[in-house]
Amino acid sequence: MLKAPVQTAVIGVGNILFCDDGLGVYASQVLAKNYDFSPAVDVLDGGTLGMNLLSYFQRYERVIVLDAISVSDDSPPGTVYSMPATALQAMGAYRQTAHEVEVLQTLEMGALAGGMADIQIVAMVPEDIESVKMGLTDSVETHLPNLIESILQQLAQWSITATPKPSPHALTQVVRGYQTLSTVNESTF
Amino acid sequence: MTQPTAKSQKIIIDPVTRIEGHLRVEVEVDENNQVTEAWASGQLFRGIETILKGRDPRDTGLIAQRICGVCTNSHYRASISSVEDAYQIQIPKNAEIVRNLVSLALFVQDHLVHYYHLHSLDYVDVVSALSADCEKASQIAHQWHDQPYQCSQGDLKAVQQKLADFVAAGRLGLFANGYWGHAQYKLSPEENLIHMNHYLEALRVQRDVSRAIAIFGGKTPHPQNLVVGGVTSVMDMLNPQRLNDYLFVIKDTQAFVKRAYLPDMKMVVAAYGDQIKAGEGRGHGNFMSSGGYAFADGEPLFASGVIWGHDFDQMAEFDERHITEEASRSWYQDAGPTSPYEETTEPDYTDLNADGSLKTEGKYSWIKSPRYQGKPMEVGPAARMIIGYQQNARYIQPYMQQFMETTGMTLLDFSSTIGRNAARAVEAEVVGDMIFKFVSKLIENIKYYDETTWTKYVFEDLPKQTQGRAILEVPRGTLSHFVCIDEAKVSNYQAVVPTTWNASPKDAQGVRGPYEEAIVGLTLADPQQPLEVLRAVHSFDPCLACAVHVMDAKGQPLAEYRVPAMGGVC
Repeated sequence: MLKAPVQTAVIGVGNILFCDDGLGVYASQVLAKNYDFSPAVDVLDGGTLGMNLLSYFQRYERVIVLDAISVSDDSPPGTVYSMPATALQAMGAYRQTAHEVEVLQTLEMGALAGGMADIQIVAMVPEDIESVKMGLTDSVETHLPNLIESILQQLAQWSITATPKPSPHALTQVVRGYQTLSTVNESTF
Repeated sequence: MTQPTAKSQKIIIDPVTRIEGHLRVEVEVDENNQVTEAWASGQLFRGIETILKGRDPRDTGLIAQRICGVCTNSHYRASISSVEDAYQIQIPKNAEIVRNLVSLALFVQDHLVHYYHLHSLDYVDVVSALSADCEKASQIAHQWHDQPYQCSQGDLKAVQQKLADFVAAGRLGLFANGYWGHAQYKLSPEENLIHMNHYLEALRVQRDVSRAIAIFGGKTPHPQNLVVGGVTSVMDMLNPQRLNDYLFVIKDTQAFVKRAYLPDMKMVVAAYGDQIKAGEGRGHGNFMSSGGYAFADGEPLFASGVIWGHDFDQMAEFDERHITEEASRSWYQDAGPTSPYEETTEPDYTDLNADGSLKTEGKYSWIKSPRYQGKPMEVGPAARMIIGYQQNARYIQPYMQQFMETTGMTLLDFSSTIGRNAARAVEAEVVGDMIFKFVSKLIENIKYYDETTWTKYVFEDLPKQTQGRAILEVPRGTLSHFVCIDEAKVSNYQAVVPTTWNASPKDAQGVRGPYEEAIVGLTLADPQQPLEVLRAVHSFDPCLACAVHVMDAKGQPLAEYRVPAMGGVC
């Protein structure tokens, strides 16, 4: 299939039902609601799609994946990491966990299949990924601007400029948007 | 309950890898390495139901779809349908057809991904494929189909080279969970290569199917096409070009199913004939299907019915009122067998033993025990294909008949580890073929100028207090959502999902869940590598993916990628 006309995508992944696990999804929507990009960027809520993300990884030239990341150093919640996917893959970062078909595995399957985008992972250390709760912890919420800044820097490296939209959306509005969806869904008619 | 004796030993498999979610299995084996008892434990709290309480009933679908990244659409549809049922809203024909087109495409996609990417490495030795003779492999492929999918000598050579490069680059991590060299790997190097070739092709095919689904599911990864009352994809539905795009993908997918998936399955059935005939991985033989996906003449694709203890000739009617859930052995407060409408989801975590093992005499799982007339039931493709065959279902019977004739399998053989996979492959073929029938139905309907896709209602006029449910067959089995509404808000919500049926722990009577029953009796060639247990569990296509999705990079030197804090925070 043909590559999409838009060549760059930012995809937020994670489960918004498990507190900070959804940070990538919320960050993607904060980005979409607050910036215009030139050339255009598709900003997507990749949610919990796992292997279905492969389609998106192969459709674009460049992709930023936003996710929560679990690291073993002493990085406190809210710490941001930014790295090419290939760097993480080269480390063989596969633990024998049951989160088998997750982003990393999908990346690796993609590498085997070929035709993958240039993928950058921009991720943040979460505080709470266990509570069944929509919304973010204070430490993640406070540092979210750093994550956004890292995304913008990466886009800048790809010669994409971001212009702030006239009326900014706060994170709290974005989170609330996910909690009260019915009004949104009726407006789609 | 079996007490460990001096001669028995316990094997713990945690996590059971290459499944979606987090599952732990503990088994006891005797001195002959035969499994005498088993405990399957869901290791993650499923509190999704609690998050739906107090919400606008029109919101439940968009939230429930996040329960799982694999079964997104199934939960989305079940949730929306349960609310429609509560409000007695009849959706237009077109909406029903569009919903079916998405659901059925997912059956094919899910079965392909399950077999090739989540399960085949339990049977396929990647390392062995590297030493295959490509010419011979191509000949073998032609023995299983006249036109095997991408199996010329050149195709196979290219795949072998690709795999060799991947292995040489030290990137075997993807396949790191295989017990390679295990005595129970029976395929030849050539057969392994054919499978790996199709493993790679299936990556592309499943990706194309997800694009086809997006034609009706909307532009963003998470679908937004369903709303209470119908579907929103009006323009796409009426656009012949979009329908053509969809059909083009399904056609290619069916070519893969018929020329790769089914022949590969027949190859495995032949290699493991002894295991099938010995009934390896056989469960209680209680099968259940709720049926559904009716065509214009009212004939459903799937037949409904209930079979007890492999007594195939005594088919009972499926009656949803017999569904209960209990939590006597699950980490929730238990009120005995309860109708899902009245059930609660209050955690009562009693922890593990000090050594980290399950407290097998008490509560040991986050999965509840659904029961039908008080009995554990196996749901999924094997149940649907066995029940469909016995009910003489018009669209299933001939496919099963043909598969049984060419492989020598009997109906009882489908109640086994390999049998479940075989049933899944047959189902992929049936469902894929039937998609074309549903599409012609849609085109016909639109021709008669019925372009309605949404039943209008005024939310404020709907009853403030009501309840409803949706019970539908989805790739992994019978899925049901139950919703209670009070003061126009969700007052109670329960989802009884296929994996809950199959992975259920024991009940108050000590009766095992289907996984547990399938595992007991297996003989392990090597207790250190309990491949037979993994195969049995994987054959059910487990999905416990209400798991969190954090990217796990522990143990990796990542300091150089750490981004210094910016801006005026902290």
